[in-house]
Amino acid sequence: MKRSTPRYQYSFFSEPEVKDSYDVVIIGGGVHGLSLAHYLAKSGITDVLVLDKGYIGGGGSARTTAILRSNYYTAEAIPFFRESLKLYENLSADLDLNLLFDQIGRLDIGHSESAIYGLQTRADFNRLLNVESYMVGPKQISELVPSMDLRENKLYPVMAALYHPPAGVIRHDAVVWGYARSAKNMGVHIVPFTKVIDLIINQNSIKGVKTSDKEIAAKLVVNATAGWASTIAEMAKIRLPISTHPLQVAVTEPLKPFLDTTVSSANLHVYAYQTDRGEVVIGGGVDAYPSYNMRSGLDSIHHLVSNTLKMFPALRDVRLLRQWSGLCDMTPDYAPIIGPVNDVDGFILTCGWGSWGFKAAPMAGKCVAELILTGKTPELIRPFKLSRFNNGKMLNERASAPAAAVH
Amino acid sequence: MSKAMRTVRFPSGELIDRLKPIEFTFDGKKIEAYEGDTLGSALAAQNIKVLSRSFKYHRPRGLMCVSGQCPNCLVEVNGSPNIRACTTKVKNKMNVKSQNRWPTIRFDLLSILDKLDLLLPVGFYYKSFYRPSLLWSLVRPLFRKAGGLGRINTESTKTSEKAHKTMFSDVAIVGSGLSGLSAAIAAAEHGSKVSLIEKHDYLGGNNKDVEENELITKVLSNKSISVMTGTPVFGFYPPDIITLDTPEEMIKLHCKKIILATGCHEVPIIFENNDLPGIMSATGTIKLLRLYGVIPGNNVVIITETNTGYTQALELQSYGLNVVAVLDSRDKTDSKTIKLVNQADIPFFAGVKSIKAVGSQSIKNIKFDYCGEWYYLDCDLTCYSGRLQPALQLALQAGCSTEFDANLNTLIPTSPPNGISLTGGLIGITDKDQSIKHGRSVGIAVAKDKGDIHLSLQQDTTKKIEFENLSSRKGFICYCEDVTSKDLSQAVKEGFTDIQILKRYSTITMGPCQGKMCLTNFLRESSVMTGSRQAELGLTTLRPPIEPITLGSLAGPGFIPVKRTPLHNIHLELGAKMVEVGGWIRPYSYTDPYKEVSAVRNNVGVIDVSTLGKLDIRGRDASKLLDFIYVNKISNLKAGRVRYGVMCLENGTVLDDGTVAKLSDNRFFVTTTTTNIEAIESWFKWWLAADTNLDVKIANVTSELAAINIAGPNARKILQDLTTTNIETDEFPYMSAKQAVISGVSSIIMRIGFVGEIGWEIHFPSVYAEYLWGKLYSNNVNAFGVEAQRILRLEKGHVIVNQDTDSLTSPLEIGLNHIVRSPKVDYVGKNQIHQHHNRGVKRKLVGFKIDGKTPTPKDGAAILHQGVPVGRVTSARRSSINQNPIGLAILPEDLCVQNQEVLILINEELYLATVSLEPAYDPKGIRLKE
Repeated sequence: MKRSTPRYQYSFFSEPEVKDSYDVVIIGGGVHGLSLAHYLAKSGITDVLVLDKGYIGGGGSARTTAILRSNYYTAEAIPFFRESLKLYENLSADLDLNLLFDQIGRLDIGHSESAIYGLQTRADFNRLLNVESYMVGPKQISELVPSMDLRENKLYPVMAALYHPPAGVIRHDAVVWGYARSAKNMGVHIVPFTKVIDLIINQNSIKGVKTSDKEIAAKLVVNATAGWASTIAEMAKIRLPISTHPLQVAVTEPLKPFLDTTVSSANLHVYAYQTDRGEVVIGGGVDAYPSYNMRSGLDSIHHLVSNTLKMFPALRDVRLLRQWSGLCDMTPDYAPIIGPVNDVDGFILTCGWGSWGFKAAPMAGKCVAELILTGKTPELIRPFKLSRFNNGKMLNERASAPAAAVH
Repeated sequence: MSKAMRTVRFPSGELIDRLKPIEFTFDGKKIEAYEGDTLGSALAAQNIKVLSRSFKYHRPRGLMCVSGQCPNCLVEVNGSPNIRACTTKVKNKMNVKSQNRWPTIRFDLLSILDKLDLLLPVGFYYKSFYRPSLLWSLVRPLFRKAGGLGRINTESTKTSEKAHKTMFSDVAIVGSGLSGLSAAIAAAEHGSKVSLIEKHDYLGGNNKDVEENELITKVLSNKSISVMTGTPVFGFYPPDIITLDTPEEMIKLHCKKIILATGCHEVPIIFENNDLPGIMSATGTIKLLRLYGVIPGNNVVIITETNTGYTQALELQSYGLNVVAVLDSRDKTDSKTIKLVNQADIPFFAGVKSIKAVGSQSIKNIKFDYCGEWYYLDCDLTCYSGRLQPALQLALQAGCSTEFDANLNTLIPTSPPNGISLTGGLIGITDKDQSIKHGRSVGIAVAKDKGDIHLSLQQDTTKKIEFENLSSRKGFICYCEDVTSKDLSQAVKEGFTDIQILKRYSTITMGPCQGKMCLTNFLRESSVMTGSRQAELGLTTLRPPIEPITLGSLAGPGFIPVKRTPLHNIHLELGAKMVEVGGWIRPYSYTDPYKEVSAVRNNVGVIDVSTLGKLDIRGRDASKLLDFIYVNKISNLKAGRVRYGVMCLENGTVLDDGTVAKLSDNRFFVTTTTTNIEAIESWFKWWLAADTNLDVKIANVTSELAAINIAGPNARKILQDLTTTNIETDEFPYMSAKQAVISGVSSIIMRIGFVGEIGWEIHFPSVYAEYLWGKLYSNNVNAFGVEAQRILRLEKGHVIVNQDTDSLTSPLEIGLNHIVRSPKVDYVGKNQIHQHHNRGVKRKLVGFKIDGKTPTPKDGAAILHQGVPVGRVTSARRSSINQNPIGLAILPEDLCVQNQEVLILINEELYLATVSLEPAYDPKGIRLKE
């Protein structure tokens, strides 16, 4: 497949010759790895190699439903996601590519008193931490989503919702391609279909990676994988508190516009929005059992669809186009694991991104780039250290995945 | 309707009944049809060619594949969007509308986009409208309006879903073409019970003809074959399930063996304007003529890359159509074929390089490049022929891999896993005799449980020469998304050389056909453009559903059990306002919650607490199990006594709480929170299973027993009148339990005090619920609901698990240090609780009060200290004592001191609150013990 591609504005990929040594090797060519490569290159570190075992952006980045929001639960997570969302707001201009970011807002529906109680805390905490977020009643909900079934005397009545106007959806593949093109243009080597089979570690210090083709020396190695984060960490004899679960998603045939915000229900374990092309994207909680299997399941799609119809009965005659699933690296406190590790010098983690990774990618990349550049962990990601699981500083970020429930 | 408008229909067609005329409307116009017609055949019979407008360019589109694959005949039927006209049977009075057009299907304003295609190449939206950043938000609404196909009726709240069913089959055969029919007969003859599944309403497949009809007769008379038509198989799910969407039900079919005979179908040949209405698959055209008696055109041009085009030309001629010419991409055709077409006087051109179609609303003529010159042919119908794509979705989902097949010149499935067999067009067999032969041997092999079969197949050795239309501007590869050959080559130029990202960038295979029309062409063109062989390119994942299935079918009838207590009707009679709590429908209040609170505090009240989870735990080792599950000690409880118990997960966080009553030496009665009973029952059984030597029996008696709590200063008098058991404190102190007879009903009664007044919780067989309620409740006794109960318990500072705790709450944070046992004994969560203890508790649940008649904080409200959010309110209500707000809150440990001041956010304002470590009501608990 050797074919020279003309070098012009819209050349997204190239096929670099892999060198024997790099300053930084990033494992994982998804949105996290590429975002990091982009911000590293922007700050002058361009001797960087990004490796992926599949095609570029083919893991979680290809499977995400691409909802961007920052209305999290804890005082630690909210500022981080707030800043990430801000980076997204300018990302089209930064990457010189229209990423089709639609800030259509987000409604987290409460069907019960106990659900509303959790939403209230989020509304308050977010507002206090400068994230636009407030509770709305059925009247405002019906204005925002006229197609929702707001009848009172039914199961799962729509009682109130948490509204988060700056949330939105983005063309996820374009984000990956945009970061890849930018990093590539600044000299980063991006190499798909190359699997890392081992890490080279000498005296508790990382020396490089071993791929199926060859050994590549590196001063720093970053684990930016999803689905296999614990497998890669295992190569450095580090056991991550991660269990990997598939998350099932589906999309319908295209329809004329009827829904122009993202809607989520924690009670029903489902969320939905309509793309600009007209398809309705439906996502749900992660499957109850850990698995690396990305096959589509029947039971989960059944629940996903039934629960969607409870909010939007008008969709019952609409046809499902396809279903798929992606892997989520779930952590016990629903928050990511970012930063260096104590036991292996030069090995940096940015993983444990569960079902909340895509929205975090710009800020995670930027912070890890800063960490690499300065050697200091930036304030925003300090709460997400691996050591929190040993010293009682777990985060309780259950709002990271309101539709998901594992633990 | 003027006669001139109608194309003549044949007097008969196999599937229509001329004696039964029916009618429907299309965009308001009346259309005559016959029973058996599809919407597609009926509209074709009226010479209505434009049925839809395309997704991006709003180009006119009409019948094309006539087999339910392509997106070109999607219409709205009776308000339901995106229905395939070509496979949907006409029903009388159907209301059919075209989609994605304005104002009419013939004249669509947005078809202007078709002229602007140079401005709208592949991925154009990624490259424009983002500077300034506001621009996209202005342009986006236009995009949305232009996109999408059908409309939904958002007023609709009907939820009539299909029933779901699970069935089992020895041998399931998917597809009823020649090979599928043959396999069915052979397997049945050799003793198998066969389910033959066909997505069309009739058996016989795409080429239903004389040979097929003979086999159909045999199939229908064979009692071992059950036939399911009109039944698309929409997915394979491991380990052995295929899912069927029958007209009545959704069936999960577990199969011991599956024979896939899903066949292959013609896919379009790429040339300029290859999407014009009037350009159809040759098979589809023959189907219209043969099965529905419809003549879709009179002068037909056939475009082919194989010999099939010539035989199809002869067949079309036999129906009386004028075959204008056969255009063949190959230089040479075999002499036998040439002889036949010459005899039939059909002109043909071999070695045609390139083709263009001309027409505005439908095909008018075909231009072609022959020996370096361009020629024109007038026509009103063009058939593409012979480029085949196997229907390999199901095979791949079932675990087959793919290989490149020289016969079909595309990928076919191979290496089926155990239990799966492949036959027919699916694996490249196109010859009729071979299909029958292969189908039979597969059928026999499956029935006899034999392994692989090896039949040597005739290979087509003729050289494959395809039309050269690379990069044509309006040569469509993908009809769903309007992606042209030129778009694809542009994407490849931009570096998208991998098939997966090429798909994502170009959106080919991502529309309603899900690759059925475009996969073969996508792979071929990509292989040429990227310079890789097709076998190397790989394949995108072909995901379920294979056939479009409605959300309603997939959802099935909703089944959410509503939990009602045995006193439900009484509550309604008393006029209670009901509320859902943890899946139960409970009385919120009967009158005013504060009146109910006052009645309990000053007189007596009764509340239905049947929703409590209840476990009857018996056996020699019951106390051993309870000791292990609860963080506090249970084994030293004396018979007749009750203890509050808390249980934790392994990670040391609070799972549930409730009461444990020891009724006799080996019998305990345990209550759990309303929401958690199912989980707690499993939790007990999970740990019991960990030590099978334990003699413990656990019964969940939640629904067997009703429960009523009677509480208040006058409760004793009411209760004592109904029982001979002495309930004076000397005999029946606080936190004790007895089995007693209450008004003739044998009950378990516990003296406990969640609401802070003297009271008894009475558990008794739920059949007597209304009777006993009638005895307890009277003019002097108030019924109280959950809201009054919440206020009462909050005044006492009692915790509700999940309301006042979260997924990280340890018992040490909710003031239960005194009941947590030492690390010397083992119990669930011990290690984590003690680690937590050693690290120090960082936050706690404490009471708070606000002085003054401020608004009450909402449950969940944020709490600030020094301008920073530090905690949250878990429950808050107005106190019945002084009307001021009181509540519980989670705060950092250093703020959990008496009278600490914090600020609470209420309706955008901050209010001063003070921490209170004592309950607001009866802090010493004297009233409970009287």
